[in-house]
Amino acid sequence: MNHLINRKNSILSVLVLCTILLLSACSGGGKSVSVDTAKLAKELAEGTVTSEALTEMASSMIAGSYYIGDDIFAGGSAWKGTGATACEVVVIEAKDAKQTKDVEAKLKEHVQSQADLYASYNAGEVEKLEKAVLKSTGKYTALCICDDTAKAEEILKNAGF
Amino acid sequence: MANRKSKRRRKRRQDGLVLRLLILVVLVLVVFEGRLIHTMFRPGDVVDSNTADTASGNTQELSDADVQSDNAIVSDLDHTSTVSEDGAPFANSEATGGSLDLPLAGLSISSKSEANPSVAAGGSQGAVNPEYIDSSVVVPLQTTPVDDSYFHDAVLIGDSRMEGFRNTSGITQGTFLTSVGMTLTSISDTKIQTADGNITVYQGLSGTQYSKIYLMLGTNDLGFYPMEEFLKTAESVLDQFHQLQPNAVIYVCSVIYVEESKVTTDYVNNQNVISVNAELLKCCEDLPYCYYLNLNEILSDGNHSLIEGASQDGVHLYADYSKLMLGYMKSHYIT
Repeated sequence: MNHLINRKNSILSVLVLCTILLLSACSGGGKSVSVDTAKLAKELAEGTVTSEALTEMASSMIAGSYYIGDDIFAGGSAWKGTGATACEVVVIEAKDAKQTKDVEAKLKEHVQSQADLYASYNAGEVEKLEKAVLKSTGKYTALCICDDTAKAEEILKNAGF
Repeated sequence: MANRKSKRRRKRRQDGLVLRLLILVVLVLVVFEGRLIHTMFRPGDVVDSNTADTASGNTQELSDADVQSDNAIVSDLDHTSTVSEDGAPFANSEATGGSLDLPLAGLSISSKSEANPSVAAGGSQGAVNPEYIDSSVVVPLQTTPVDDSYFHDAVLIGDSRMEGFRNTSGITQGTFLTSVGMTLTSISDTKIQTADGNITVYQGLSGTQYSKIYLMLGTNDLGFYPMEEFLKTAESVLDQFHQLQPNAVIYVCSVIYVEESKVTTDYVNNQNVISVNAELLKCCEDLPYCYYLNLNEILSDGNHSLIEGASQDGVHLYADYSKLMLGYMKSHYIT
């Protein structure tokens, strides 16, 4: 009898522990997605841009290039072109999921600014900017200005965006 | 006795109820958080800590390996030229680490080495290089290349060519004020996106004081000018820079040649590049705080044209050539 009670207590303890662990995972807020920014950016750059070979930008230049403050920028990866086309890919991790909307706003501004500039410089590139794919999940935001937006959407969906 | 048995039975029933409830809760959580658990234990999805570690602002130092690598490029540029059968200077492609298979013209020059006493040995082979300019305002070759920290207090201003340089050269420091399509005439009106909203170049130069200014404009001005107007405009812009940044050395980058066969706009041609560069050189000779950075020393094919294959569209440099340009900037500076 005692043996039965002890076993029941053990099962109860394990279940309580599991419940606590799972509940604590839930209380993190937002989606708990983890993204390898370098891997994703490379995949997007190589899989969606055909009009130009993009090059990975020095990581220390990314925040400055998109005017994202150090209080927000936790890391990321950017692939940029020579200037011949408007194509570029950037995946940014914010320090907190709540800051994702700020990153999105900066990237939207960037796209708009580039579209305005390219309109008088190389109008053919404006369409790419208008169709730019901008998505967020958790702490991550991805921008893909590319030739194959359907592929970009697919890659991002698979990555949890 | 009957009461005790009844209590035990009730307790057992309650325990069983709690147990079932807990199992239910755990099952629900497992189902809904299955994705989380899957993610937690999938090794491929772990964020690369290196990425986060290295991405923190514009002032990060280069690693020793990076510096050595950059210096190697500089060294290659300055000491490995040879002369082709037809007399045009070409780079030794092996010396560039094999990354560039195409001939590079004019790699061993120092137009300032005789005129400027600060220049140490480094090859004064101007006679070999058709891009040699005999002027004291041309930025000289230095024996000791700097590393990226040299650009820490530099602001680099320019058009899409400068933007491409920032994107692909691997430069890790410096403040960039760039705008696609920017010209010398439009510089006061062109808006540049910054953290503080859209500003002009002059507004960008109004706050922080820099030690160096690199200006790379002129490509979009090709063909727009009667040349006498160009000189006036360029000097006015440089004068404003000096007013706003009185302690800064201003490096005026030559307009890099184009590969005409790939360019679709007729006025973007090398004859106009030569004309504009002559005016930019005059600006530097007129203004004591300006120096002429003769980038065509390394980017010319030896016949006053951009090296064949250096660009997709004949204007914007591929990454390998942007890296060469960065190496040149690190080995050519004012002391």
